[in-house]
Amino acid sequence: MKKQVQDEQPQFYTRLPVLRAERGMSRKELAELAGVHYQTIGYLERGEYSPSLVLALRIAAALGVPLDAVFSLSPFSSMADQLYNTEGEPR
Amino acid sequence: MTASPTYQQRRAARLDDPSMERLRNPRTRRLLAAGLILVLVAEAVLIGTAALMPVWVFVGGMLVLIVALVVNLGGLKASTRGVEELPPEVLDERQAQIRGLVYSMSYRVLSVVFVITVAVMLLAQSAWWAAPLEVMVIIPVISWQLILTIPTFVTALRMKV
Repeated sequence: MKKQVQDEQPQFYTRLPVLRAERGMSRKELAELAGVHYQTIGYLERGEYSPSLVLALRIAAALGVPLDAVFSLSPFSSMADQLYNTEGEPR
Repeated sequence: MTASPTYQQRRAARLDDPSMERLRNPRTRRLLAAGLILVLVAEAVLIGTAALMPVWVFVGGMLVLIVALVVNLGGLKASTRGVEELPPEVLDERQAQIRGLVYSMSYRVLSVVFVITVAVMLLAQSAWWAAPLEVMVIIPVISWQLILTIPTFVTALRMKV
């Protein structure tokens, strides 16, 4: 998971690259849905820009997931951890 | 029915033209900025030596330099996608934030350029320098062009656009 770092302090974590890749969306397509420049999606994915609440909500809506599935103040667990328990069995 | 794009939307699209992508890297931006400074210096030299040349040489030289200035500045603006000069309604929130940073930095640079311009103008008028008329033309003309281009310089050289 990417984390936004400013003055050495993580600001937020995002799952945006994974969610976008899962949907087979290009940055340009997501940018058009969210009403921003495609570069901004890249900056968000690399954790180099903190979005406003409105933009975060628009991105979550474009991806069809709740806001807290895309952005979080604490690190996300990995997709593998969420799909499988510690023994490797499907949850 | 889709509304036709506004003038500013068309400008934004032109400045964001994907065919200009080769200009959008730090090295090319630095080269374009250096080129623009060279054009301004050449303008100052041409105005300073105007009395030594026939009028047609001066006018021809100025025309060439104006074209060079327009091409260079256009390239520099395309390299920054025009973030520094487009109005907020055609920028997204990140670009608008960059625009705000550019203007605050440009304000500081502009203040310095203004103070230097006024100081040199006052010195040029003082008895011990007695600067020729050309100097009194060069200083405001070059300062004015520099002031107009400061936001573009700041964006090209300091911002991630």
